[in-house]
Amino acid sequence: MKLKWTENRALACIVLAVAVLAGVVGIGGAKARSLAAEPAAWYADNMSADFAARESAAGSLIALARDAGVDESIVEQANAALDASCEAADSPSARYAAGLKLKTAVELLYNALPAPERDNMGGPAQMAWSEFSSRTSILSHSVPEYNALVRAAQEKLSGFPASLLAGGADLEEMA
Amino acid sequence: MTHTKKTALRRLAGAALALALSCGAALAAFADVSLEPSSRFYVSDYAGVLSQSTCDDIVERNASLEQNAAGAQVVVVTLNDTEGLSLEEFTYQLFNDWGVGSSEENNGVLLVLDIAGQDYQCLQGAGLEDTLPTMTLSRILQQDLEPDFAAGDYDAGVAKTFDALADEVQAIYAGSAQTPSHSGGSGLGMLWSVLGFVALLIVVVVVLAILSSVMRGPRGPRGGHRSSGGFWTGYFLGSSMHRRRRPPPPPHFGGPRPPRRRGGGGFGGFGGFGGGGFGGFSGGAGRGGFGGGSFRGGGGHSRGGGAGRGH
Repeated sequence: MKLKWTENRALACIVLAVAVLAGVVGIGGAKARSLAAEPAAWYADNMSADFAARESAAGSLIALARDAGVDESIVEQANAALDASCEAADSPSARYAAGLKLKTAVELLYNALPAPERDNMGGPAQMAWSEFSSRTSILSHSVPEYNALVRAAQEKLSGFPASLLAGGADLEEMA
Repeated sequence: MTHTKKTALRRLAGAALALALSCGAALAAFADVSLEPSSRFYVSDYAGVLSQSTCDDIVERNASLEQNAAGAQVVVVTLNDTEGLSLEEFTYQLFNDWGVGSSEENNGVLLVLDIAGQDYQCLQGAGLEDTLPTMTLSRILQQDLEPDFAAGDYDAGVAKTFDALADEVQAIYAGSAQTPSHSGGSGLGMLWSVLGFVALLIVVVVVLAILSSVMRGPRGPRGGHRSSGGFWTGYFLGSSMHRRRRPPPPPHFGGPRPPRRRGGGGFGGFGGFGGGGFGGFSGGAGRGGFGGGSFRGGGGHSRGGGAGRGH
Protein backbone atom coordinates (compact mmCIF):
# COMPACT_ATOMS: atom_id res chain seq x y z
CA MET A 1 0.00 0.00 0.00
CA LYS A 2 1.41 3.36 -0.89
CA LEU A 3 2.24 5.40 2.16
CA LYS A 4 0.94 8.90 2.59
CA TRP A 5 3.65 11.47 2.58
CA THR A 6 2.89 12.17 6.19
CA GLU A 7 3.66 8.57 7.04
CA ASN A 8 6.92 8.36 5.09
CA ARG A 9 9.73 8.05 7.60
CA ALA A 10 12.51 8.61 5.14
CA LEU A 11 10.90 11.80 3.95
CA ALA A 12 10.39 12.87 7.54
CA CYS A 13 14.08 12.32 8.27
CA ILE A 14 15.05 14.36 5.26
CA VAL A 15 12.70 17.17 6.23
CA LEU A 16 14.04 17.09 9.77
CA ALA A 17 17.63 17.26 8.57
CA VAL A 18 16.83 20.15 6.28
CA ALA A 19 15.04 21.98 9.10
CA VAL A 20 17.96 21.51 11.46
CA LEU A 21 20.42 22.70 8.85
CA ALA A 22 18.27 25.71 8.08
CA GLY A 23 18.09 26.49 11.76
CA VAL A 24 21.83 26.28 12.19
CA VAL A 25 22.59 28.31 9.11
CA GLY A 26 19.71 30.74 9.50
CA ILE A 27 19.59 31.46 13.19
CA GLY A 28 23.19 30.59 13.88
CA GLY A 29 24.37 32.55 10.90
CA ALA A 30 22.41 35.59 11.91
CA LYS A 31 23.86 35.44 15.37
CA ALA A 32 27.40 34.97 14.06
CA ARG A 33 27.05 37.91 11.70
CA SER A 34 25.65 40.03 14.49
CA LEU A 35 28.63 39.21 16.71
CA ALA A 36 31.04 39.95 13.89
CA ALA A 37 29.38 43.32 13.23
CA GLU A 38 29.71 44.58 16.82
CA PRO A 39 33.21 46.06 16.47
CA ALA A 40 32.30 47.75 13.19
CA ALA A 41 29.17 49.23 14.72
CA TRP A 42 31.15 50.53 17.70
CA TYR A 43 33.72 52.00 15.33
CA ALA A 44 30.98 53.74 13.35
CA ASP A 45 29.47 55.26 16.50
CA ASN A 46 32.64 56.18 18.37
CA MET A 47 35.60 56.57 16.05
CA SER A 48 34.59 57.24 12.48
CA ALA A 49 33.68 60.88 13.07
CA ASP A 50 37.01 61.49 14.82
CA PHE A 51 38.90 60.01 11.90
CA ALA A 52 36.95 62.24 9.54
CA ALA A 53 37.56 65.36 11.63
CA ARG A 54 41.25 64.60 11.78
CA GLU A 55 41.38 64.12 8.02
CA SER A 56 39.60 67.42 7.57
CA ALA A 57 42.16 69.20 9.77
CA ALA A 58 44.93 67.53 7.78
CA GLY A 59 43.35 68.81 4.59
CA SER A 60 43.34 72.36 5.99
CA LEU A 61 47.00 72.11 6.93
CA ILE A 62 47.94 70.78 3.51
CA ALA A 63 46.15 73.68 1.83
CA LEU A 64 47.84 76.21 4.11
CA ALA A 65 51.24 74.61 3.52
CA ARG A 66 50.75 74.72 -0.21
CA ASP A 67 49.80 78.40 -0.06
CA ALA A 68 52.77 79.14 2.21
CA GLY A 69 55.17 77.59 -0.29
CA VAL A 70 56.26 74.58 1.73
CA ASP A 71 58.43 72.04 -0.08
CA GLU A 72 56.23 70.29 -2.64
CA SER A 73 57.50 66.80 -1.78
CA ILE A 74 56.45 67.22 1.84
CA VAL A 75 53.06 68.52 0.75
CA GLU A 76 52.58 65.63 -1.69
CA GLN A 77 53.59 63.09 0.91
CA ALA A 78 50.99 64.46 3.29
CA ASN A 79 48.41 64.58 0.52
CA ALA A 80 49.02 60.98 -0.44
CA ALA A 81 48.72 59.90 3.19
CA LEU A 82 45.47 61.81 3.49
CA ASP A 83 44.05 60.15 0.37
CA ALA A 84 45.02 56.72 1.68
CA SER A 85 43.33 57.42 5.00
CA CYS A 86 40.13 58.59 3.33
CA GLU A 87 40.06 55.61 0.99
CA ALA A 88 40.34 53.21 3.92
CA ALA A 89 37.26 54.67 5.61
CA ASP A 90 35.32 51.39 5.45
CA SER A 91 38.01 49.31 7.08
CA PRO A 92 38.76 50.36 10.65
CA SER A 93 42.12 48.62 10.86
CA ALA A 94 43.25 49.90 7.48
CA ARG A 95 42.12 53.41 8.29
CA TYR A 96 44.04 53.33 11.55
CA ALA A 97 47.19 52.11 9.80
CA ALA A 98 46.85 54.80 7.17
CA GLY A 99 46.23 57.31 9.95
CA LEU A 100 49.60 56.53 11.53
CA LYS A 101 51.31 57.45 8.27
CA LEU A 102 49.11 60.52 7.99
CA LYS A 103 50.15 61.64 11.49
CA THR A 104 53.84 61.36 10.60
CA ALA A 105 53.37 63.21 7.32
CA VAL A 106 51.31 66.01 8.86
CA GLU A 107 53.78 66.52 11.71
CA LEU A 108 56.50 66.94 9.13
CA LEU A 109 54.30 69.31 7.18
CA TYR A 110 53.44 71.44 10.23
CA ASN A 111 57.08 71.77 11.24
CA ALA A 112 57.93 72.78 7.70
CA LEU A 113 55.53 75.71 7.78
CA PRO A 114 57.11 79.13 7.92
CA ALA A 115 57.51 80.26 11.54
CA PRO A 116 55.08 83.21 11.26
CA GLU A 117 52.36 80.78 10.06
CA ARG A 118 53.16 78.06 12.56
CA ASP A 119 53.71 80.26 15.59
CA ASN A 120 50.72 82.50 14.95
CA MET A 121 48.78 81.44 18.04
CA GLY A 122 45.13 81.48 17.20
CA GLY A 123 45.90 81.54 13.49
CA PRO A 124 44.45 79.02 11.02
CA ALA A 125 47.51 76.75 11.00
CA GLN A 126 47.70 76.56 14.76
CA MET A 127 43.95 75.94 15.06
CA ALA A 128 44.03 73.16 12.46
CA TRP A 129 47.03 71.62 14.18
CA SER A 130 45.22 71.82 17.52
CA GLU A 131 42.22 69.99 16.07
CA PHE A 132 44.44 67.38 14.41
CA SER A 133 46.31 66.72 17.66
CA SER A 134 43.13 66.61 19.69
CA ARG A 135 41.48 64.02 17.44
CA THR A 136 44.67 61.95 17.39
CA SER A 137 44.61 61.90 21.17
CA ILE A 138 40.92 60.94 21.29
CA LEU A 139 41.48 58.13 18.80
CA SER A 140 44.39 56.78 20.80
CA HIS A 141 42.08 56.41 23.80
CA SER A 142 39.40 54.69 21.72
CA VAL A 143 41.67 52.10 20.12
CA PRO A 144 41.99 49.82 23.17
CA GLU A 145 38.23 49.51 23.49
CA TYR A 146 37.82 48.76 19.81
CA ASN A 147 40.56 46.14 19.95
CA ALA A 148 38.93 44.53 22.97
CA LEU A 149 35.70 44.19 21.00
CA VAL A 150 37.57 42.65 18.10
CA ARG A 151 39.30 40.14 20.33
CA ALA A 152 36.02 39.20 21.97
CA ALA A 153 34.39 38.69 18.57
CA GLN A 154 37.35 36.69 17.31
CA GLU A 155 37.18 34.42 20.33
CA LYS A 156 33.48 33.76 19.91
CA LEU A 157 33.79 33.13 16.20
CA SER A 158 37.01 31.14 16.20
CA GLY A 159 35.46 27.70 15.75
CA PHE A 160 33.64 26.01 12.88
CA PRO A 161 30.99 26.68 11.66
CA ALA A 162 30.85 30.07 13.45
CA SER A 163 33.79 31.43 11.48
CA LEU A 164 32.12 30.35 8.25
CA LEU A 165 28.74 31.77 9.19
CA ALA A 166 30.22 35.12 10.23
CA GLY A 167 30.60 35.98 6.58
CA GLY A 168 34.18 37.23 6.48
CA ALA A 169 33.69 40.39 8.54
CA ASP A 170 36.66 42.72 9.06
CA LEU A 171 37.87 41.58 12.45
CA GLU A 172 41.33 42.96 12.67
CA GLU A 173 42.73 44.95 15.57
CA MET A 174 44.05 48.46 15.10
CA ALA A 175 47.77 48.08 15.59
CA MET B 1 21.43 23.12 57.63
CA THR B 2 24.06 20.45 58.23
CA HIS B 3 27.49 21.23 59.59
CA THR B 4 29.12 20.25 56.30
CA LYS B 5 26.95 22.63 54.35
CA LYS B 6 27.60 25.45 56.79
CA THR B 7 31.33 24.90 56.52
CA ALA B 8 31.16 24.85 52.77
CA LEU B 9 29.17 28.05 52.73
CA ARG B 10 31.60 29.78 55.04
CA ARG B 11 34.52 28.74 52.87
CA LEU B 12 32.71 29.93 49.79
CA ALA B 13 32.00 33.28 51.41
CA GLY B 14 35.63 33.61 52.41
CA ALA B 15 36.81 32.83 48.92
CA ALA B 16 34.38 35.31 47.45
CA LEU B 17 35.56 37.99 49.84
CA ALA B 18 39.20 37.27 48.99
CA LEU B 19 38.40 37.44 45.30
CA ALA B 20 36.55 40.72 45.71
CA LEU B 21 39.43 42.24 47.65
CA SER B 22 42.01 41.13 45.13
CA CYS B 23 39.89 42.49 42.28
CA GLY B 24 39.64 45.76 44.11
CA ALA B 25 43.40 45.87 44.54
CA ALA B 26 43.90 45.03 40.89
CA LEU B 27 41.52 47.75 39.81
CA ALA B 28 43.30 50.26 42.03
CA ALA B 29 46.54 49.30 40.34
CA PHE B 30 45.07 50.40 36.98
CA ALA B 31 44.49 53.98 38.24
CA ASP B 32 47.44 55.80 36.65
CA VAL B 33 47.03 59.09 38.50
CA SER B 34 47.38 59.27 42.25
CA LEU B 35 46.58 62.97 42.64
CA GLU B 36 43.53 63.57 44.79
CA PRO B 37 41.37 66.68 44.60
CA SER B 38 41.52 69.24 47.37
CA SER B 39 38.67 69.49 49.84
CA ARG B 40 37.15 72.23 47.68
CA PHE B 41 37.36 70.00 44.58
CA TYR B 42 36.84 72.78 42.02
CA VAL B 43 40.30 74.25 42.59
CA SER B 44 43.39 72.34 43.67
CA ASP B 45 46.32 74.74 43.85
CA TYR B 46 49.12 72.30 44.55
CA ALA B 47 51.70 74.59 42.97
CA GLY B 48 50.65 77.42 45.30
CA VAL B 49 50.31 80.05 42.58
CA LEU B 50 46.70 81.11 42.99
CA SER B 51 45.33 83.79 45.26
CA GLN B 52 42.59 83.14 47.78
CA SER B 53 40.20 85.41 45.93
CA THR B 54 40.72 83.50 42.65
CA CYS B 55 40.12 80.23 44.45
CA ASP B 56 37.00 81.61 46.10
CA ASP B 57 35.69 82.87 42.76
CA ILE B 58 36.25 79.47 41.18
CA VAL B 59 34.34 77.74 43.95
CA GLU B 60 31.50 80.24 43.92
CA ARG B 61 31.14 80.20 40.16
CA ASN B 62 31.10 76.41 40.09
CA ALA B 63 28.33 76.32 42.66
CA SER B 64 26.34 78.53 40.32
CA LEU B 65 27.23 76.40 37.29
CA GLU B 66 26.12 73.23 39.00
CA GLN B 67 22.80 74.86 39.77
CA ASN B 68 22.21 76.54 36.44
CA ALA B 69 24.10 74.43 33.92
CA ALA B 70 22.96 70.86 34.52
CA GLY B 71 25.75 69.99 36.93
CA ALA B 72 28.57 71.39 34.77
CA GLN B 73 31.91 71.87 36.48
CA VAL B 74 35.02 73.83 35.49
CA VAL B 75 37.87 72.53 37.59
CA VAL B 76 41.31 74.10 37.90
CA VAL B 77 44.45 72.29 39.03
CA THR B 78 47.95 73.67 39.39
CA LEU B 79 50.85 71.34 40.05
CA ASN B 80 54.53 70.70 39.53
CA ASP B 81 54.51 66.98 38.81
CA THR B 82 52.58 64.96 36.23
CA GLU B 83 53.64 61.60 37.66
CA GLY B 84 55.74 60.61 34.68
CA LEU B 85 52.95 61.09 32.16
CA SER B 86 52.68 63.68 29.42
CA LEU B 87 50.53 66.57 30.54
CA GLU B 88 47.92 65.63 27.94
CA GLU B 89 47.70 62.05 29.20
CA PHE B 90 47.80 63.17 32.82
CA THR B 91 44.92 65.57 32.28
CA TYR B 92 42.89 62.86 30.54
CA GLN B 93 43.46 60.39 33.39
CA LEU B 94 42.74 63.03 36.01
CA PHE B 95 39.51 64.10 34.34
CA ASN B 96 38.14 60.57 34.34
CA ASP B 97 39.50 59.65 37.77
CA TRP B 98 37.86 62.69 39.34
CA GLY B 99 34.71 62.46 37.23
CA VAL B 100 34.55 66.15 36.32
CA GLY B 101 31.08 67.28 35.32
CA SER B 102 27.84 65.40 35.56
CA SER B 103 27.58 61.77 34.52
CA GLU B 104 24.42 62.40 32.53
CA GLU B 105 25.75 65.33 30.50
CA ASN B 106 29.53 64.74 30.61
CA ASN B 107 29.82 68.53 30.80
CA GLY B 108 32.99 69.04 32.75
CA VAL B 109 36.03 71.15 31.87
CA LEU B 110 39.42 70.60 33.44
CA LEU B 111 42.27 73.10 33.27
CA VAL B 112 45.63 71.85 34.45
CA LEU B 113 48.69 74.07 34.81
CA ASP B 114 52.05 72.34 35.10
CA ILE B 115 54.11 75.16 36.54
CA ALA B 116 57.41 73.28 36.69
CA GLY B 117 56.95 72.02 33.14
CA GLN B 118 55.74 75.45 31.96
CA ASP B 119 52.80 73.88 30.20
CA TYR B 120 49.06 73.77 30.45
CA GLN B 121 46.24 71.65 29.13
CA CYS B 122 42.50 72.14 28.97
CA LEU B 123 40.11 69.26 28.40
CA GLN B 124 36.36 69.17 27.92
CA GLY B 125 33.94 66.39 28.73
CA ALA B 126 32.56 64.13 26.02
CA GLY B 127 29.23 65.97 26.14
CA LEU B 128 30.83 69.31 25.33
CA GLU B 129 32.89 68.27 22.32
CA ASP B 130 30.42 69.79 19.87
CA THR B 131 29.40 72.88 21.84
CA LEU B 132 32.82 73.68 23.31
CA PRO B 133 35.15 72.37 20.61
CA THR B 134 38.89 72.17 20.80
CA MET B 135 39.27 75.26 18.63
CA THR B 136 37.31 77.32 21.16
CA LEU B 137 39.43 75.99 24.01
CA SER B 138 42.54 76.79 22.03
CA ARG B 139 41.35 80.33 21.35
CA ILE B 140 40.56 80.93 25.03
CA LEU B 141 43.91 79.60 26.13
CA GLN B 142 45.76 81.70 23.57
CA GLN B 143 43.89 84.88 24.42
CA ASP B 144 43.36 84.62 28.17
CA LEU B 145 46.03 82.37 29.60
CA GLU B 146 49.14 82.47 27.43
CA PRO B 147 50.11 86.15 27.88
CA ASP B 148 49.98 85.99 31.70
CA PHE B 149 51.37 82.47 31.83
CA ALA B 150 54.40 83.51 29.78
CA ALA B 151 54.89 86.46 32.12
CA GLY B 152 54.66 84.26 35.20
CA ASP B 153 51.43 85.81 36.43
CA TYR B 154 49.60 82.52 36.73
CA ASP B 155 46.90 83.82 39.03
CA ALA B 156 45.76 86.50 36.59
CA GLY B 157 45.85 84.06 33.70
CA VAL B 158 43.82 81.45 35.53
CA ALA B 159 41.26 84.00 36.68
CA LYS B 160 40.65 85.25 33.13
CA THR B 161 40.70 81.78 31.58
CA PHE B 162 38.37 80.34 34.16
CA ASP B 163 35.88 83.17 33.64
CA ALA B 164 35.99 82.68 29.89
CA LEU B 165 35.47 78.91 30.21
CA ALA B 166 32.66 79.31 32.72
CA ASP B 167 31.00 81.91 30.49
CA GLU B 168 31.14 79.51 27.54
CA VAL B 169 29.61 76.67 29.55
CA GLN B 170 26.94 78.94 30.97
CA ALA B 171 26.10 80.23 27.50
CA ILE B 172 25.66 76.68 26.23
CA TYR B 173 23.05 75.95 28.85
CA ALA B 174 21.44 79.37 28.75
CA GLY B 175 20.81 78.76 25.08
CA SER B 176 19.19 75.40 25.73
CA ALA B 177 17.27 76.77 28.72
CA GLN B 178 18.29 73.84 30.88
CA THR B 179 17.76 74.21 34.55
CA PRO B 180 19.52 72.21 37.17
CA SER B 181 17.80 69.01 38.09
CA HIS B 182 17.74 69.71 41.76
CA SER B 183 16.40 73.22 41.55
CA GLY B 184 13.91 71.90 39.02
CA GLY B 185 13.34 69.16 41.51
CA SER B 186 12.36 71.61 44.22
CA GLY B 187 9.46 72.83 42.08
CA LEU B 188 8.70 69.28 41.14
CA GLY B 189 8.87 68.28 44.77
CA MET B 190 6.26 70.86 45.71
CA LEU B 191 4.01 69.64 42.93
CA TRP B 192 4.35 66.10 44.16
CA SER B 193 3.61 67.25 47.69
CA VAL B 194 0.36 68.82 46.56
CA LEU B 195 -0.54 65.82 44.43
CA GLY B 196 0.38 63.50 47.23
CA PHE B 197 -1.86 65.37 49.63
CA VAL B 198 -4.74 65.28 47.18
CA ALA B 199 -4.19 61.56 46.64
CA LEU B 200 -4.11 61.08 50.39
CA LEU B 201 -7.42 62.87 50.79
CA ILE B 202 -9.05 60.81 48.06
CA VAL B 203 -7.84 57.56 49.55
CA VAL B 204 -9.02 58.56 53.01
CA VAL B 205 -12.45 59.46 51.71
CA VAL B 206 -12.75 56.23 49.75
CA VAL B 207 -11.63 54.08 52.66
CA LEU B 208 -13.99 55.78 55.02
CA ALA B 209 -16.84 55.41 52.57
CA ILE B 210 -16.14 51.71 52.30
CA LEU B 211 -15.90 51.35 56.05
CA SER B 212 -19.09 53.27 56.51
CA SER B 213 -20.98 51.05 54.13
CA VAL B 214 -19.54 47.97 55.84
CA MET B 215 -20.55 49.15 59.27
CA ARG B 216 -23.98 50.37 58.17
CA GLY B 217 -25.49 46.90 57.89
CA PRO B 218 -28.44 45.04 59.35
CA ARG B 219 -26.23 43.77 62.16
CA GLY B 220 -25.69 47.29 63.19
CA PRO B 221 -22.55 48.81 64.50
CA ARG B 222 -20.36 46.83 66.80
CA GLY B 223 -19.13 47.92 70.15
CA GLY B 224 -21.50 50.78 70.40
CA HIS B 225 -19.83 52.74 67.61
CA ARG B 226 -21.99 54.90 65.42
CA SER B 227 -22.43 53.58 61.93
CA SER B 228 -22.13 56.87 60.18
CA GLY B 229 -19.89 58.75 62.45
CA GLY B 230 -18.04 61.79 61.40
CA PHE B 231 -14.90 61.93 59.38
CA TRP B 232 -12.53 61.40 62.28
CA THR B 233 -14.71 58.75 63.90
CA GLY B 234 -14.50 56.75 60.76
CA TYR B 235 -10.76 57.39 60.59
CA PHE B 236 -10.12 56.06 64.06
CA LEU B 237 -12.52 53.21 63.48
CA GLY B 238 -10.51 52.25 60.47
CA SER B 239 -7.33 52.35 62.51
CA SER B 240 -8.81 50.23 65.28
CA MET B 241 -10.13 47.71 62.80
CA HIS B 242 -6.71 47.47 61.24
CA ARG B 243 -5.24 46.98 64.67
CA ARG B 244 -7.59 44.08 65.31
CA ARG B 245 -6.54 42.50 62.07
CA ARG B 246 -2.86 42.78 62.84
CA PRO B 247 -1.35 39.36 63.19
CA PRO B 248 0.12 38.41 66.57
CA PRO B 249 3.79 39.25 67.01
CA PRO B 250 5.84 36.62 65.29
CA PRO B 251 7.75 34.23 67.53
CA HIS B 252 11.01 34.84 65.64
CA PHE B 253 13.00 37.85 64.60
CA GLY B 254 12.21 39.50 61.31
CA GLY B 255 8.52 38.84 61.21
CA PRO B 256 6.19 40.51 58.75
CA ARG B 257 5.76 44.23 58.91
CA PRO B 258 2.51 45.12 60.64
CA PRO B 259 -0.18 45.95 58.09
CA ARG B 260 -1.16 48.87 60.36
CA ARG B 261 1.36 50.85 58.32
CA ARG B 262 -0.93 50.56 55.38
CA GLY B 263 -3.82 51.80 57.42
CA GLY B 264 -4.12 55.05 59.25
CA GLY B 265 -0.49 55.22 60.20
CA GLY B 266 0.67 54.13 56.81
CA PHE B 267 -0.37 57.29 55.06
CA GLY B 268 2.88 58.73 56.21
CA GLY B 269 4.40 56.90 53.30
CA PHE B 270 3.03 59.50 50.94
CA GLY B 271 5.33 61.99 52.53
CA GLY B 272 7.96 60.52 50.28
CA PHE B 273 6.60 62.64 47.47
CA GLY B 274 8.08 65.66 49.17
CA GLY B 275 10.91 67.66 47.71
CA GLY B 276 13.59 65.82 49.61
CA GLY B 277 13.01 62.72 47.60
CA PHE B 278 14.10 64.49 44.44
CA GLY B 279 17.10 66.22 45.86
CA GLY B 280 19.58 63.86 44.36
CA PHE B 281 18.48 63.65 40.74
CA SER B 282 21.62 64.13 38.75
CA GLY B 283 25.11 62.92 39.51
CA GLY B 284 26.79 65.19 41.93
CA ALA B 285 24.73 68.23 41.24
CA GLY B 286 22.10 67.80 43.86
CA ARG B 287 24.02 66.13 46.60
CA GLY B 288 25.27 69.29 48.15
CA GLY B 289 21.78 70.55 48.54
CA PHE B 290 20.23 73.71 47.23
CA GLY B 291 22.36 76.82 47.02
CA GLY B 292 25.81 75.19 47.20
CA GLY B 293 28.13 73.08 45.10
CA SER B 294 28.58 69.39 45.52
CA PHE B 295 32.35 69.68 46.05
CA ARG B 296 32.88 66.38 44.31
CA GLY B 297 32.99 65.01 40.81
CA GLY B 298 29.67 64.24 39.21
CA GLY B 299 30.96 61.19 37.34
CA GLY B 300 31.63 62.99 34.08
CA HIS B 301 33.79 61.45 31.39
CA SER B 302 36.13 62.75 28.72
CA ARG B 303 37.45 61.07 25.60
CA GLY B 304 40.66 63.07 25.69
CA GLY B 305 42.03 65.62 23.26
CA GLY B 306 41.47 69.19 24.32
CA ALA B 307 43.91 72.02 23.79
CA GLY B 308 47.22 72.94 25.32
CA ARG B 309 50.11 75.33 25.10
CA GLY B 310 51.07 75.64 21.48
CA HIS B 311 48.48 73.15 20.19
